[in-house]
Formats: sequence, structure tokens, C-alpha cells
Amino acid sequence: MSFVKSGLKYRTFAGGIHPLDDGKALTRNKREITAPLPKTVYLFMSQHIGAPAKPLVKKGDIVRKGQLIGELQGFISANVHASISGKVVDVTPLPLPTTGVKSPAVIIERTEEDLWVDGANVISDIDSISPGEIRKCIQSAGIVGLGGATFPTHVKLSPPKDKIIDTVVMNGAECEPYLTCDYHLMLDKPQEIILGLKLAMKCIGCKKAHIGIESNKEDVYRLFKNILADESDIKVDLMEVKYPQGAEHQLIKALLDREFKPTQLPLEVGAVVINVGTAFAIYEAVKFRRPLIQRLVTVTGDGVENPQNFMVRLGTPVKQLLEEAKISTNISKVIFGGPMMGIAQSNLDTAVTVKGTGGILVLKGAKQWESHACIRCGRCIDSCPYGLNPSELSITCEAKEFALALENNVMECKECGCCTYVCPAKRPIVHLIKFAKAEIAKQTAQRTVQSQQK
Amino acid sequence: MELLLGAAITLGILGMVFGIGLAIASDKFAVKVDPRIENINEVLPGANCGACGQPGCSGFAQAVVEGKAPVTGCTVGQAVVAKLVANIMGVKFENRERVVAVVMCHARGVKNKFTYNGIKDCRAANIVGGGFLGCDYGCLGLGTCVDACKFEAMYMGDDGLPVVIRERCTGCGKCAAVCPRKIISVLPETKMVHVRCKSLDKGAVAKKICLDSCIACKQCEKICPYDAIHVQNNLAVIDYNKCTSCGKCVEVCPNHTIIDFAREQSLAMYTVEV
Repeated sequence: MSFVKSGLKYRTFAGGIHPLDDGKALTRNKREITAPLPKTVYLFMSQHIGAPAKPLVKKGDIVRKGQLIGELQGFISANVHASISGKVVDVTPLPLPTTGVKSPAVIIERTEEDLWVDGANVISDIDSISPGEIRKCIQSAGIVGLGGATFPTHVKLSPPKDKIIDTVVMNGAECEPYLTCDYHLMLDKPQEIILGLKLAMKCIGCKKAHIGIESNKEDVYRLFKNILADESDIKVDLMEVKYPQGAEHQLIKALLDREFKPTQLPLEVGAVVINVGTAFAIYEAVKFRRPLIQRLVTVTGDGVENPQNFMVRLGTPVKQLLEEAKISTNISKVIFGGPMMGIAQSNLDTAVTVKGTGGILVLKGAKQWESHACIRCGRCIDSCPYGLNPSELSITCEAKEFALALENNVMECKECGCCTYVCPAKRPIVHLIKFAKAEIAKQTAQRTVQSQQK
Repeated sequence: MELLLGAAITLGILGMVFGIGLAIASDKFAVKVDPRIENINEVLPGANCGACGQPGCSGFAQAVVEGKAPVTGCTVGQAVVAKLVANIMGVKFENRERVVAVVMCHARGVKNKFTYNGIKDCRAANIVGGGFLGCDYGCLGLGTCVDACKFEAMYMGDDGLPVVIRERCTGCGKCAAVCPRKIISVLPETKMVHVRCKSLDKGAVAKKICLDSCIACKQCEKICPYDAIHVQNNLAVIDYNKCTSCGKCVEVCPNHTIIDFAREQSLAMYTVEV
């Protein structure tokens, strides 16, 4: 599907939204800088979707940068590595910044010199490496989807045998307003990203790749086009600036014109989606055997005087980053991630960066609204990229008619927030849907327990 | 006249034929319903609360007759209904203790972590950042349990905590089921001593969060003559099978976490009289 706008042909999908001021100008011209090394890092064992990792260290242990401190548990899980060299101060449950629920974390204090652990940071040959070895490297490096969903990458790159994957789609859309970390990564490390993408292709064993970049990043598009001038298998395309352009369904619809159910995975239509950040992490892990211990984080918003893109070690306290970016005194909201899907933080003292943190958004004067009854204007239906009826869903969820919500496909909602953004009655639609999903999950779990008892 | 007579006779004959047909059919295809189901249904409270685990009151009545549910299964009707159901079924009825809901939290001086502006439902609030309350285990106070009560046996007190009217409570357990933090327990009415805290935080941490929290000092454990109270995971837990509600632990509890309902009630009456 394509959309003709000002003479240019951009690829896109149906639905979605775009705020008039996307706030990207704040950090668009700020090249990445490395944040100063943190004194203490808090590394959560659950920085990914799936089973939490098992802590391998205990209080008093000396660890070095890149050392494995949390081992993956089960198939869908990921390793966790020390991001600085030092002493393990404690292994204790702390509130996870993404959910607020307490989860085990390893606290490391920097006492040693910042040197890599033995075995890491060695250059290896990436031309002759086998797909199995690539997957092993990715798995041991603890790489997860860095676009924000944090799905373990080695699982994503191990599709079932009966599914044929023909294309790797790389997401360079960065559709969330305010964030520019992927933009800067693509600007600074295009060669590395493309090598990472090729490694992912080799790992799956497919020949084709398609890169999608939003049209507000035309410089990146031209850069990639130049690099890939004589590669016919890797296509680069511009897409319309629209949220959620970078979501799997919308990306695949825009680039490959393939559709699949919201409850299905992209491999149903022969595609695998990876983020540019993930591709870069894959390159680092395979070429240099460097585990995932740092990432680019955009610290932005009107609540910081010096918005910036920082290369940050995982587990760095957010306070330190905010001080670096000169936080204002009268802020009202700090959000992890972008404004659409980000998670507001309740306690800045315990908030630390995790693998999925692409941005920290600091806002002054965030408004609070009174929500009203649905006026059935239908704007949410127009904006829903998954073709759901958010109006009906919000009403049924508010009445706690969860069975009815289930009939209206509440489980197909990806909580992108377009409906809530456009709602003139300021209804907390996504919150209502999240509530219904949690309750339905609880009821299903209860029913399974009951049927097992019988 | 002739026309009228002909019509009357035809209709009369038709009516007789259909009447006989229906009479035969109703006898031949009759659905045999156990009269006991109907009788039991009549003595049940009719709230369709589902506390018995059956789909409504008629479902329970059928289950009793089929032998799938005990005659004492109706928690709402308690002893009165159980006796009537037992009579209908012609079995001996053993008295079951009356149970009531108890709120196991007495949050006092707990600060909020952040301003919550979302849906007014504890379950919805609990999934936002792990709940807005400073205590991870305490009552959020949005009244989901009160909304769930079908017998108007609960109300939100002045201190923001739900209050159970023990006389009206039927022990159906609906409030306990909807509470996202599992603060409400359904316990025998005769049990008067309760630990009103669910915090598993360490003593020093819990004390800072809430004035009435259990700090796991083990004073209660030491004084209990019946070995009925034990500190597990930084929280005093009463074994209600052993507890006699003697109230010794209430006296030693430094944070007034453990309370005696009997004493509270008499105290309340006293203040009212004065």
C-alpha cells in the first residue's frame, strides 16, 4: 500500500496517527555522546520477555565488564551481563521500571578498571561463520529486541522448520515521537548495521532483506541507498511519517504488502522483523564477541535543558543521566520510552535503564484530564491500525463485561495508544483494555487450575 | 343460524381432537423433574452469587439433588438454609460455622508513590506501576470489594479502608476474589484476633512505609501459649486451627498490627455510650 504525498510515493498502512509536533527536533542534531561511567549499576534479571535469568553471582563477588551474571532459563529467556567491572554489592528484589513489580537485580559497584572479561572483545571472522554459530553468539550475548519489545533475538532467529522465512525486515522507522536514538545509530554506524542485518539473514538462511525508513530521515535513507547501491537483495524504502509505522504488522504491510492476524507472528507471512539497534548489537556480538551491555538512549523533553543521545551502560541510574542532561526543577512526568507506549516512572531513585529503554522523556506540565462517557464519534476506529473497535472495547471493559470484550477481540489489541491519543472524551481506552486483558488472563489461569484439579 | 351451528360443531370437534392429542403428548413426553430441585430452589436466597461454585441458585439446587454439592454448600444462607436443604433431601445436617470476611490491612500513614488518575478500580490501578500505594501489599482503597458485595455488607470507611458489617456478611467471598492484593480473607466468625497486615517487607522497611505494619519482631510468636502464630517471610501469620482468640498477642504487639475484634467492638460501644 502506498500513499502519494507532495509528489513522492511513500509506503504506509491504514490507520495510525501523527502528532503535529513530534518533538524529534530537540535531539535531531545532537550526535551521540558516551555517558560517564556509572558508580553503581542495577542489573535486573528480567530485562526481556520470557522467563527471568538466574543470577550466577553472589554478594562480594568481583565481576568484570561483559561477564555473565544471569543465565537464561528456558527457551524464551536471555542472558544478562555485567555492564561495569566491580564488586557485587547485593542481589535483591527491586521494583522493575517497566512494571513496578519487584524483580531480582544484581547491584554492582565500580571498583575495578573498566576492562573486558576474558573471551570478550576479540575480533573474529564473520565471513566463514556458520548460521548455528551466529545464533549461539547472539544467545550468549543476551541480545533482545532493542526496539522496545525486548523479545529474545535468538528465539526470533530460530523459526520453526515448517515456516519458510524469505525476508528479513529491518525497522528504521522510529515512529515514536521524541526519540532519535535509532536515527543517530543509523547515521553513525550504517556499515555495522548492514553487516548485522546480513548476519541475521545468514542465521535464518534467507536471501532477501527490506529496510524501512520514515521519510523524516531522508539523509539516512540516502546514506543506506549509497552503501547498498550494488546490492540487489537488500531494498531500502521510505515510509510515511506515521505512528505505529515501526510495529511489525504495519511495517510488513507497508514494505511487503503482506497481512497477518494481530495475534500471529510475522513468520506466518515469511518475515522476521529486527530493529536497527538489534542489528548493531548482533554485529557487535558476532564480530567482537561483545555482549549487550550498553545502548543508545535519547534523554529528551521540555523538562531537560540539554536533551541528548547518550551511549549508556545498562543498569545506569536514570538520575545520573538526567543530571547530565540538566533536568529542570519543576518537572511533572518522567516516561521510559516514547510518549505513545512509554511507561511513566513513579520513583526516580530506583529507576534504572534496562535493555528496552530507548528513551527517557522528561515533561514539564503534563496535563491531567477528566475522562467522559464515549460520544461515539468513531475517531478511535479510524485511527486503530489493527481494525478494532476501541470505542466498543472501552465501553465493555468499563462495564467489566470481559467476556463481551473477548468477543470483540480485545486480545488483538497491541496497546499502541492511537485510540487514546485521538479520543476527544479523553477516555483511558488503553488502560481499560490492559485491565481487561489482565483480568481475562487471570480468569483463564484460574480455569486451567480448576480443570487440572478435576 | 345454520352457518353458526356448523362452525361451532367443527370448532368443537377440532378442539376435542387437539385436546386429546395434547393430553396424550403431555403424558407420554413428560420431562420428569425431581420435585426436590424446585423445593430447594425456593428455600435458597436467590442472589445467584456463585459463592457455592455452581452457576447460580438453581444450578446449586440441581447439584445438591444430583449429589454433586453438599447440603451445606450455600455459604450465603448459612445454617438456616443448610437445615432446610437438609430437610428436603432427608439427610442429617451438621452445623457449619458461620464465616465472615475480614480485611487484613490497616494502612495508616502510607504515602502514595505517585498521583493515580486512571480507572477507579483496584484491579486496574494495581497494574499501573505496581500500584500507586507506597506499600506494595496494602489496600488501594478504590472500593472494588465494596462494589462486588451483593449484600451491602461492606462500605468504605473514613480512613479509606473497606469495613465489613459482620452481621450482614454472608461469607460468599466475592470481595476476597476481586481484591488484587488478596487482602480479604473469609474466616469463621468466632475468630476474633487478626493480623491486619500483609506486608512481606523487612521490619525496618515496613515500619517506614506504614505505622500499623507488621515488623516481624516475633513478640507474638514468643507469647502465644497455643503455638498458633508464626512469623513467616517477615509477616506474622495466625494458624486459625490452633488460635483460641485469647488475645495475648494483641497485648504485646508493639505496632498494634494484631487486633482483637471483640475488644474493639466493646470499646466502640463504650465510646458511643459516653
